[in-house]
Amino acid sequence: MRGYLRILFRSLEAAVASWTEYRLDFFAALLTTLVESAGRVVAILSLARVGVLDLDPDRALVYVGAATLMSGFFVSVVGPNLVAFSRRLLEGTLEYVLLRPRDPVFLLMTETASLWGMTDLWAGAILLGVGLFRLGAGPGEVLVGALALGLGMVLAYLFAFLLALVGFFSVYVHNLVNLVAGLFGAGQYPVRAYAPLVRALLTFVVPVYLALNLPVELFLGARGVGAVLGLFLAVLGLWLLVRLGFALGLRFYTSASS
Amino acid sequence: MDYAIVAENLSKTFWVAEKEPGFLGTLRHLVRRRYRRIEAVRGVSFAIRPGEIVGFLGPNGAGKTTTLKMLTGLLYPTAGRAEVLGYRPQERRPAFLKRITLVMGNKAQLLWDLPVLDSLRIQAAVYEIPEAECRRRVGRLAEMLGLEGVLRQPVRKLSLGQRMKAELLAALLHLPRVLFLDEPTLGLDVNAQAAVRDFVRAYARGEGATVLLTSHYMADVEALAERVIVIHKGRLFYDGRLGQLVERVAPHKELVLELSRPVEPGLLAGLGEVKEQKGLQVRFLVPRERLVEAVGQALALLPVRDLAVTEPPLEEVFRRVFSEEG
Repeated sequence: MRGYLRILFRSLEAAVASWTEYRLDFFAALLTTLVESAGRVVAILSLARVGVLDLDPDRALVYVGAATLMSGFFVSVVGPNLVAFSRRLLEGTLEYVLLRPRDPVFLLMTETASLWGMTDLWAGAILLGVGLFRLGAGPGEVLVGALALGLGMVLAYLFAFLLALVGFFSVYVHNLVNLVAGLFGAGQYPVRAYAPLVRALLTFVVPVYLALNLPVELFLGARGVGAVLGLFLAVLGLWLLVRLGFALGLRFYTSASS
Repeated sequence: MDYAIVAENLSKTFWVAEKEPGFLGTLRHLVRRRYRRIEAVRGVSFAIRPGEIVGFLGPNGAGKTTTLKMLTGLLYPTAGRAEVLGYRPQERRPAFLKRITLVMGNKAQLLWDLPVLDSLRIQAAVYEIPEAECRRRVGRLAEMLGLEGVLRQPVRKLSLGQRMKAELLAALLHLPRVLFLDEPTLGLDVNAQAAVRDFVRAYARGEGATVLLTSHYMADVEALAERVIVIHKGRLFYDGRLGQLVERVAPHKELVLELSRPVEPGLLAGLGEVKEQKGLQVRFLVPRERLVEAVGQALALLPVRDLAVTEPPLEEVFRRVFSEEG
């Protein structure tokens, strides 16, 4: 476990080094982050004033905060790693990952990160924090909700990675990432806000409810702690499915010839 | 005798989709795909002792890389058995992966935008090399490769030769016992090729490592390997000493004459097969048993200013052999 944490830390260290390698890019990303953050805060304040569905503005803030965090996670972690995975498949450099004495799925999922999603991560955390503060959430609820949201992010990533395994047979991982990120964007509203068919899709096909709505409900104290266990089991199940899918994909992987 | 690498009747078959050109071909390809069975490797057997450096040769598409990938566990053999350091490669056990490396001359693993040291730090974490030990190894390998001054520069700023050396450094940081080198000098200039060769030789000697090397540059093979394994169309063609291979597949010597003035073409044809004529310099291929006679004839009949007898380049030998084989 310590070994994997060390790899994670070193990979993050390299990602940060990559951001700062091109200084103009770094400052542009930083500026964009600040401007977008300001935009989101203005938008959410307007949303709170108008009211969303039957939610009071503070609860809406929590939903939107969690969804914004998820969006940031997709842009800064999920997207770059899935694109890197797809590039490795195309260029035939997946071999270097497969030859390492570590779990290749872990290595592929934690290879890199991007600065560009930081906007959403910051803004999401602030919105969530403000919402919870205004609602007077207790430390227990915040802790359980944060744990559930972390598990939800892992669940969403595993779902996206499972879909990206079609990269063994297709080259359109880019489109897939955008599609999945868009679907998880729907989680900024409770799934009950959607038509029954869409609601079923976001609950049983794409795990938007499990990954986003359930953690928010835990933040808001609307669910018992047992829901976290359920979420953990869902993560475990999807992890096993990803490993199975990866093993299956490898059987078809012949790599690019030299 | 324990062997470091064993291949026993190793075979690999692929199914490759084929498509006719044009719009109709594309439509057919979309609706009903046609596959062709390709036997990339067919019953190849060999065994390599610990510490041996073996050249693995063959024309493009002969099955070299496929064999290497089976030996490293990247591909599952369709039939036969592979064993490396007592492990079955396709099981890809961590203990096995920690003791081998694969270097592909045309594929990079270093982080493009970052200094080499950043990639090495990740490698060290992956292979659980302690910090101090990592510094010691990097220092020693970088000195052997002449890379001391460039490890803090972004990889994209390095020359091709420096990049390849840095790739080698990253691939050998965990001090593997078996090296699979697939075209490690591809695209390098003569000096860089020589430096890579010297390093591989020194590393293998120092660590007692076993090396299986594929290369299109015969100079690599001549400099590093006493033994060569040649495969052609997926089958084992030759396994033995390099010198014996040359004698077996090249029954000719090369005779180079420098003439003092032009002569009738008919006079040249009698000496052997004229391979090349550049001004007053003529290159012949002469059967080994006729060499003495041909030299005598040349000196007697032609205005010879200088004369040299050499082995034909290995590239040419293989080109002749494989084109005769079809």
